Amino acid sequence: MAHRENTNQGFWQRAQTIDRRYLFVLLVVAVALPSFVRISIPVHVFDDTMGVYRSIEGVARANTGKRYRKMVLVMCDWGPGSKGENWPQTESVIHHMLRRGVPFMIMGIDTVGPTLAEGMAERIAPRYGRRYGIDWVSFGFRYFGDPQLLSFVKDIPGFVQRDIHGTPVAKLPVMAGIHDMSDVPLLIDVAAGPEVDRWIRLAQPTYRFKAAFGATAVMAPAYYPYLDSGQLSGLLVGMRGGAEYEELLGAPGQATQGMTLQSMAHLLVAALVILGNIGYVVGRRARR
Amino acid sequence: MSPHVWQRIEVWVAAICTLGIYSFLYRENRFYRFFEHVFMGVAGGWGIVTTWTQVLRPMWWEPMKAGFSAVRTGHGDPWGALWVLALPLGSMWYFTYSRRYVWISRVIFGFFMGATAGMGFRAFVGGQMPQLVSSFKPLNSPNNVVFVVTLVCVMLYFFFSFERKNAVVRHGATVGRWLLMVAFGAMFGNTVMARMSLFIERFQFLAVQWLGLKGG
Amino acid sequence: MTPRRIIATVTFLAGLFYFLEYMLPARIAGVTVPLSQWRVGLGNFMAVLGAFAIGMGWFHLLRGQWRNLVTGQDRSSSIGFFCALAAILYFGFRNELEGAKAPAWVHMGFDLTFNYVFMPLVATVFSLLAFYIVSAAYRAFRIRTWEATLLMGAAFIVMLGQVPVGGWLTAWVPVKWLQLPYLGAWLLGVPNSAAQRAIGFGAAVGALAISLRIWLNLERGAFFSTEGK
Repeated sequence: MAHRENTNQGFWQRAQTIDRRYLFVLLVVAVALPSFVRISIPVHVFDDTMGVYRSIEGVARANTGKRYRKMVLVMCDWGPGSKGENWPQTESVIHHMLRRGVPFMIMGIDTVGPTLAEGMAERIAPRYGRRYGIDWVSFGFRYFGDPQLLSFVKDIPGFVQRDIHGTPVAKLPVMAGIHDMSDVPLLIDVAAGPEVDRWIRLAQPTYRFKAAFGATAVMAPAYYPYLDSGQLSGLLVGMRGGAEYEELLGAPGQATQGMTLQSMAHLLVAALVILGNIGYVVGRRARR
Repeated sequence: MSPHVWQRIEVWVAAICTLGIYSFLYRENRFYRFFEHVFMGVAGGWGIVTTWTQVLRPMWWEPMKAGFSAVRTGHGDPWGALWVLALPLGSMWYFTYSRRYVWISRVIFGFFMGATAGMGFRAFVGGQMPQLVSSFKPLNSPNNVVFVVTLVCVMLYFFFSFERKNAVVRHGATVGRWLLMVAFGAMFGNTVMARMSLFIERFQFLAVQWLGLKGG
Repeated sequence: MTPRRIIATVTFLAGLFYFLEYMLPARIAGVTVPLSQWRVGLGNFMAVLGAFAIGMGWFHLLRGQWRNLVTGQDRSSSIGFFCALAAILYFGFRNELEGAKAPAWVHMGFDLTFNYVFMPLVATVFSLLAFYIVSAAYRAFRIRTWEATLLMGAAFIVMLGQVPVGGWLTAWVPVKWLQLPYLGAWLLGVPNSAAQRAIGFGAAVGALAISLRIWLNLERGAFFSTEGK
């Protein structure tokens, strides 16, 4: 009995010092498993994602029958470093707006996000007969500190002046009737950082627009107070937000597939924490 | 070259770049260092391209050129020529490399910091007032009670201006610390989700686009 | 006027504009206050000034890489740096400035450099952290105290509740709000939200205090590191 106990303790102590490269391989195996074994688990849609969906639906309803349609501002403040989380979020909201005919403008403080968003819109728009300049427009990357934000919200055509193709704003039919931020009832900021803070603090009190945030999962917990106070009408959290939105649109895509792989990764992390602590407790008892 | 062949070449290049960076997980090596330097070159260069094409050229160069043209020909708005002043002002940043004239760079730093500080009042009122108002919740539901108790206890924990002699304050701060752990746990759970998402996106590229495996 | 006075004056005036623009009404005694009208022009001017700073850092970066190339220390990496820089500058400028008029091979070169070199490299560098989280989960996260137990418990609930497998594991639980997705959503929406708000209040007051100190030049060492010593 003592020998078996010693063997067990030796096993756990040896397990504590395992080369971390084996753990890396375990992660790859866990994530690769759904590629070989069909695993399909339905995605649960949370209220924070529904808030974004309802906000866009609200703009679509408000625009019905109007001569000058209000626009949605989509700030794509993300780059390839957060592509896994922000790409499905951006694609989903753009898909929703093109489907419902809600006009939107794309802009961003990162050099990559707006470019990728334009590609998404160009790919999806033909499905619903939407056209650039009439249903959507892109102003690309803009250097956008706090002073520039205050300038933009006060006079949108005066700040942007031209779109990414060099067309003056006055020649873009979609921008007809858009003067300042009061003509933009909804801001959707998809970002890798806390960019939506500035809009909420500096512009929302004056122009009273709704704000929705497509956040990376690491940032999201800090924004639940804004959901509670109503400063944010919706929150997309990481890849799960994109997957839930795909579920709402009935268009499962990369994020929905990714959530199955995410499930495997999370189960692995949980199992490793438990195993690591078991080994720690066993080792501590052996040392006493 | 057919588009399909070019597409496959592009995917292979992307896969090699991805695996080159992942080789660091085995151990630090020259292959990884090469791709790390390629990353620095491309990222920095792309910043230069977009700064010129999206900011400086449309907002400074073109209006300045049009202004000088108006001054020469007498047609158009000549005020754009004043944009030439942005050149000496913009070059103030680079005096940070001079030991003797470093204070010139501090002027432009101070300008931007002062402007941001001046906006601090607007930011505080606009951001925090709605938060403050919505913190006064009626204690008519379990969720509201938990919310208010958590808010008060965590704020008590962060008050270091007075001694915690009172038992209510002391125990409240202790409960606040426990509730902070719950919040940090939520943040940790989300951090795991965030990092895994980034790897999963890369894995999906390698498995589906490069190797042609079908997703689960 | 000493440099310090010049810097303090410029800082104060820059902040004063935005402070007064926020505090003053649009009209005083029938006279329009023009500050809000100047905001757009000033914002554009500051955007251009900020863009001029793009060159900062390049001096040291280029010097370091050139030194590696010339001395032969890690020459292959520096060659990769300069080749990548030249490629993105050439294809990037031609693609952006010429647009549709650029020849097809320019678009192909830009597509390769941007979408299939730059994007995968950045995404992969950030994704390395996932592996270190797995390593830390097994080797570093130890539940030694009551607080650590609370932290890990909350982490487990949120981590599993936000992925589909969490709902699948607890679908059998008859009380809906005890199922992982609902429990996780409650944790995020109630206790986490309240704690984050409390943290936010403290951070906001601190940020306001720092803003005032910088604006009024009360912050020692803000611009000159020898101050306060």
